[in-house]
Amino acid sequence: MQRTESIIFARLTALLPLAIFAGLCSRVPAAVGGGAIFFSWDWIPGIGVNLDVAVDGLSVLFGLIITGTGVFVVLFSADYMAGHRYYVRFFAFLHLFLLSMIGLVLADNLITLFVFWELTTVLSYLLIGFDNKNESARSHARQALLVTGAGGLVLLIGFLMIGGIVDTYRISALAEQARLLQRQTNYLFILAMVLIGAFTKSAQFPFHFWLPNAMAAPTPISAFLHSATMVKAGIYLLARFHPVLGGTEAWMGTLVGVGGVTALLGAILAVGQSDLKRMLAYTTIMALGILVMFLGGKTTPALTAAVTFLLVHSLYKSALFLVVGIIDHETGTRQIESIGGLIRSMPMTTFGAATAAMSMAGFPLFLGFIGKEIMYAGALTEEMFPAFATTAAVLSNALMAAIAGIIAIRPFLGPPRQTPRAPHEAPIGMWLGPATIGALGLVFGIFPDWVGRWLIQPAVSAFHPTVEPVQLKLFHGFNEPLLLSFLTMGLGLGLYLVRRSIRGWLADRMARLPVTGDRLYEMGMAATARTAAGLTRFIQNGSLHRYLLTIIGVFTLATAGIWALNATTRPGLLHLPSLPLAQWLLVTLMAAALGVVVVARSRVLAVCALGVIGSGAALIFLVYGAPDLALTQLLVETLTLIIVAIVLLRLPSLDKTAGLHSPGRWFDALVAVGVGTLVAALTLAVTGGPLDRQLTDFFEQNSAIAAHGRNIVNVILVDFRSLDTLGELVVVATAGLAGFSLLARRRR
Amino acid sequence: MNWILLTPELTLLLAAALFLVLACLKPDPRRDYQLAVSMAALTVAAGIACATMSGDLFNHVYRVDLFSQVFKALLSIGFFLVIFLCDDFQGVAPTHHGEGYFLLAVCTLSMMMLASAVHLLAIVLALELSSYSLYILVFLRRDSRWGMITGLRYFLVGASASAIMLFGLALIYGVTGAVHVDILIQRLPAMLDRPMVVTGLLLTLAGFFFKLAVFPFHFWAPEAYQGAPNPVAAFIAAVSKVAAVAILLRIISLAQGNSDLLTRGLIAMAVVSMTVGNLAAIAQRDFKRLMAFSSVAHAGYLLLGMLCMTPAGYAAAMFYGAAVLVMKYTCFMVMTRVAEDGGNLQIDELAGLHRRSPLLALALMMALFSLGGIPPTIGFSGKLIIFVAAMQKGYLVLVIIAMINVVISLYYYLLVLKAAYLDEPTRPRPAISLTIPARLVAVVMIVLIVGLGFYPVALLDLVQAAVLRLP
Repeated sequence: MQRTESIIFARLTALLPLAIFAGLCSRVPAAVGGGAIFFSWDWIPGIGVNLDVAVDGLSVLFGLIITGTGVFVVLFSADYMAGHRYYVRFFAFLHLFLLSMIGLVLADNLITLFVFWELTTVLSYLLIGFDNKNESARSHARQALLVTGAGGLVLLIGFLMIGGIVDTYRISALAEQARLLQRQTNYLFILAMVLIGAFTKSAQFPFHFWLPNAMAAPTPISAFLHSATMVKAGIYLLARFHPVLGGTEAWMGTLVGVGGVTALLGAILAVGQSDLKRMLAYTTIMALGILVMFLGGKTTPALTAAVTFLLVHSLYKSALFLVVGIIDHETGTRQIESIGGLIRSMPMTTFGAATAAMSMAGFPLFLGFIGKEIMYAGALTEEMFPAFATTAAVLSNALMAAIAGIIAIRPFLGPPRQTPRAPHEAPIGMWLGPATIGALGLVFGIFPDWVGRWLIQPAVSAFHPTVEPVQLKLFHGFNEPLLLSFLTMGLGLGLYLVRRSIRGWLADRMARLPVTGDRLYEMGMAATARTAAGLTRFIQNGSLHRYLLTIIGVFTLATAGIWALNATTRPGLLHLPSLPLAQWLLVTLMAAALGVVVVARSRVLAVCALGVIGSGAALIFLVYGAPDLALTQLLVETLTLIIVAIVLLRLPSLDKTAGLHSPGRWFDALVAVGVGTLVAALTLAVTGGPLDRQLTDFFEQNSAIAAHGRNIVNVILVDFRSLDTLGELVVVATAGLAGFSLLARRRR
Repeated sequence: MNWILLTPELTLLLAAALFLVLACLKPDPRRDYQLAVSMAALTVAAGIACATMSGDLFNHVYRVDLFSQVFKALLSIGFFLVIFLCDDFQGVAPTHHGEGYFLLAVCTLSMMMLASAVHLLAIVLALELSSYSLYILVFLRRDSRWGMITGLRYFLVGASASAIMLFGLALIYGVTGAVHVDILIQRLPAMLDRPMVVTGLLLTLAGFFFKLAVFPFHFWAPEAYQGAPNPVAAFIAAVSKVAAVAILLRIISLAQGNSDLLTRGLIAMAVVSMTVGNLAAIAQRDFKRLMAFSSVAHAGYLLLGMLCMTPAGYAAAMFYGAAVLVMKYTCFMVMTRVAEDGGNLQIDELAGLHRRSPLLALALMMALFSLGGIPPTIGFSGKLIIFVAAMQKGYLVLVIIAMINVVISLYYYLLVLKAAYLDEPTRPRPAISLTIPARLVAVVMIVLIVGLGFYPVALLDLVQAAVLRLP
């Protein structure tokens, strides 16, 4: 009972995308007229980031695709995920994802767009990893997030640079600045940043590997994210930036090249699969490649081809994914060789599969046919590499036709086979999606004119101010595209017939490829982990000695570096002969004590020698007429000496530590001498400058008048600074008392 | 002298005195905790009430202005949150709870003084007072295996940093003859091309870099975090960074944006900190060590904002300082609640957290996403503001390096997240029960992380107004 209720509730949430869908439909008439509406709310106005929203033909088309498929995916998931432990959480993520996608295509601000872009990435991470009992699902979710998330950050660099040049983040304001941007010396760099962002999201070669791996996600998620919406975000971005960065040779060459290679690679890899879902994933990569390739053009036919194929692909691919989901759900397997004859038990699913596959294969009367025709027309007019583009298009389409056959014929026709579960028709919520979307492909195919006028034309003109109107017709007459269509069908049929023999051969070839994106990713991850471990072992090895050495070493090198590079004066040398004999003696004594510290084998001896150095310093203060300083120094020195000596008595002797002959100690000595020299030099340099006599003058004039004393030091100590002196005395006394009480407690 | 200006400090002083007395009486953890929370709440009230006051105290050694007061409000909030986390305070023996609260109060007090001090000697005094409180707080760890060793290391690294800082201060005084910030501002700009001045400034900064855990003064961080009682680690990771940002801004702004040498030095430290911190974090298995290295990396991001030496950069650093407080506190809050008996927490012990406590798991996820700079969180807005400020100064390469670092950091934050959300525990563990106030704080932290991500303007306006008080 509980379960049925939650399913009904889940189905009801489909009203959310439906409402947005209806809202966007109401914008279609205005979009046809080329109108766009803008909204804006302040967000972080200080840096020019606002919630700008623009609704034009392109965003409407994408929004309709997102919400349209969204409705059916929600309905589908209500049954598909029924009984799942985190049912509610799943729908929360799904709807959040849908809203972020809508936000992405409506955003008119680069930073806002980026925010939604990363949100879709994060939510897709949560959705891919949803099947969290599966270890591969978890690691693949992470891979998808790292690849697309990193791509997103690269994109952000590009956005920030663009913002820096044109001084606005409004996307609708960028097209006017296209010339300015394209004249920049770092135009190529910006372009690379934006393209890498789009390529990672839309799974272009060489970043394509994450998409098939992400198929670990629940099937409705694959249908929604990995065919109709999220992977199209990169395509959307390329279309949006077409008038801004597009039209240059770099743009066209890269897009046509990368897109074409991706399309061919995806098609070849698709044939090599036997898992239905992975096969669909590779055909998605192929389709994305084709889209990128056509966005590389700048003629109306090429761009129209891109937009039309976008719609075509979203329709048939989401339907097919949902069909695969049904097969998986009802039979318990996705292995193509173990399914057959489903038409008898699942008629409605078969209808959805057949219509979608025929659209995919490009049969006449289906939208796919229109898409293919316009695609060939576009390929032939490509500015750069038209021959390559046409070849890639024909080959991919032929492979696509073959795959459509594999997916739609194989599981449904022929004798029924033994499957883990006895197949039966899915609940209505599940087959409704594929059947409706599949039928839509047929309806649109029969009335292409309508689709062209209301959806394609406004979308194309939103990013390409067209001179000639877009023409979508069922029959364009006998021309080159039609010829190519026949060629495609023939090739596709041939490929379908020899599929078994090439599948094994291809799979074998692919396994032997020396470098793939997937392996590079794995190698990169492993190398990072190794570097991290090595670095930690090297710098954070737990040895205090190493830490202090690093700190002092960096201090010495940095300071010396600053001086070596920038100093104009050298610190003056001491006037050695002018030193009185007493001071020579003191210095010698301290030097000797230092030697004792270094070679001492007993801790107490070393500490005592340190005490000698400290007392020597106190004596130097005394010689220079600072009795107060000398006194304090002596007191502190004595206290420290006593406390340290008591602590050290409890420690093991020094005998076992490294002697003078270990290289480590020589290195330590080097650092010590270095830092000593440096500090001495700096002190000399700073005391070499003129003294500030302000205070001296004040005390010279005032000590006799105000305090009736001639000895300035005495007057300062007991008159001007008497409270300070008192404080110092209290501190030293307290420290002594505290030390004493600690000792007394020990003895007790 | 207007003592009202000192209300937050006086409240803390009162709290410290109270706990000094209580520490001598018979220990009663319940009473101590309730008193501590009340005093901390009073401090927050005082900190916020005095947020807009201004004036000079103690012969102009102590400056109360919007800059210092915003930091004090942040510090008092952080103090309250950390005290709140001490409800079981398992890492410290019950007899020492009083001392713990006393030291936390003294440390917060000295960090407030750090935000207000405008005299170099006052700065040193405040800095040392806060450092020494922390050394002893680390020692308080009940498990002597940790407390003693790490406390001593923390102290020795800190003492080295202090020595270097004092030498730097001596150099500055030697060259300029000034120890007051106001006079330094007049004298320094003309001398900034002199290597002596730059050396002095950089060495002075060393003491504060130690607080912020910037390479190479970061060595203490992993071990101190690991060795400290959990709430103390939270205090070091979240609250003390805020004070470090305050004083670094105060000193770096002395250069008034026209020292190439200083900028170059800061760039080097920022880049090395980010990279070393993020790379080393990957290799960690202990939650607190991982957070420590992530702190090192975040110190790099903070420096990136500061080294712009523009009001936008300072505001960005200040904003990000507040963000670090929120994010790091949330992580440590979750860690403290999950760790058993106040012990340390391995990352794989987080497994199944989303079932043991969905609220804590959500809080951890939000905090990690925020640390990783994923929108719409406070960590994202903070990083964005820093990056924009850096781009305005033309530091494209730096921004790219920072972005690469963000990607690296994403990797290990995801490892933690995976443990909390996706992994199954090896043996079943009981659900974590939270008191209603604890739940409330967790919810507030989530709201802050997401809320300030969506709507950063209020805080941003505040910090922008605050940094205008800097020269």
